[in-house]
Amino acid sequence: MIQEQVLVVTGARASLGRHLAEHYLSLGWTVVGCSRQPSDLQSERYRHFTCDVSQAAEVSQMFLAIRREFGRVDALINNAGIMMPGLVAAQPMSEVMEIIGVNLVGAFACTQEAIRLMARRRAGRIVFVSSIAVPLASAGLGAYAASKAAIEELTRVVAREVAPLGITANAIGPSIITDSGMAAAMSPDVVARTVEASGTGRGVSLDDVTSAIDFLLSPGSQAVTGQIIYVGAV
Amino acid sequence: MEGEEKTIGQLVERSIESINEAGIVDDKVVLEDTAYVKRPEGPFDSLALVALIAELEAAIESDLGVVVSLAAGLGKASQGSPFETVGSIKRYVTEVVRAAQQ
Repeated sequence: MIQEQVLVVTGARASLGRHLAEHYLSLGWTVVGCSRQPSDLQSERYRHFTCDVSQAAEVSQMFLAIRREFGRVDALINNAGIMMPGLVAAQPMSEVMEIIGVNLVGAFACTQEAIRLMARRRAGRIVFVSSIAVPLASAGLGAYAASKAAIEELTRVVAREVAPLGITANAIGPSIITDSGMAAAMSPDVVARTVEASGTGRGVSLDDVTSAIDFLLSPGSQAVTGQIIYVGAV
Repeated sequence: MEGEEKTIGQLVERSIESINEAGIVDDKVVLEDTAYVKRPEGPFDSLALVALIAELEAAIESDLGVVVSLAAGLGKASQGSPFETVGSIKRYVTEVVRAAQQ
């Protein structure tokens, strides 16, 4: 069993997840990442699992392997998420189910497993990734925004449930992350409207989001739980 | 086998005692095989059961060197739940450990 703090980041192959994995490796954490595809991230303190978080059995197997290899989880960042734009009246139900499966069911399954490991040490930090699409009620993002709204409620419920175990649960809700792959997946029109609706009038960077998560994982945020922090004002 | 059953019995009691003292339950479980653990008959709510499972899994790892998951037992109904009494927990843990060793 290792002594270093262990962080689990879902959706760690690319974009924000990759950025977070590299960032926390640079800060000395042992990082466990997962994604549906393999990762080329190389580090002695990085372990990658190929895992579809929407499949609870795969998540259970991954956490069993984490228990065997590391014996602990100190923090979980539920970053895995997919976004497929579409009007509610037009979006295929297969897409809706996929979005809910990864964004909500995946985060639920990982959180459930992480709590059971964190409970051993009576300590832990859980960070969910929501979106500014929730307060903006962005047209064209119905399934995505609904999945993230559910994540926000899950954050509040988890925070209440696990407080007696010394575990905190919070969410960050980024605006458009201009240097991530997600921005490229959105129509320029939606990007422009979202940026315009943000109080800052600009998108945010991967570093902006990481800074907010730094706070939630820091010792100084022990008393902060059940909160949604929007990165990019609303 | 008998030695292992005794070890499991001790680690189950030690784990329950740890949750009794953790400050997350109002009433304590009596360390007798017939004593109820899980609500409504016993004092442990769902959160206490989650903490107990974490404690048991860690104890099984350190005392027996076996990595097992006990979470499947949480899904079972109150009547017939492996977490109903101290004795049923001992039997459940013994069963799961033996299955993992085969």
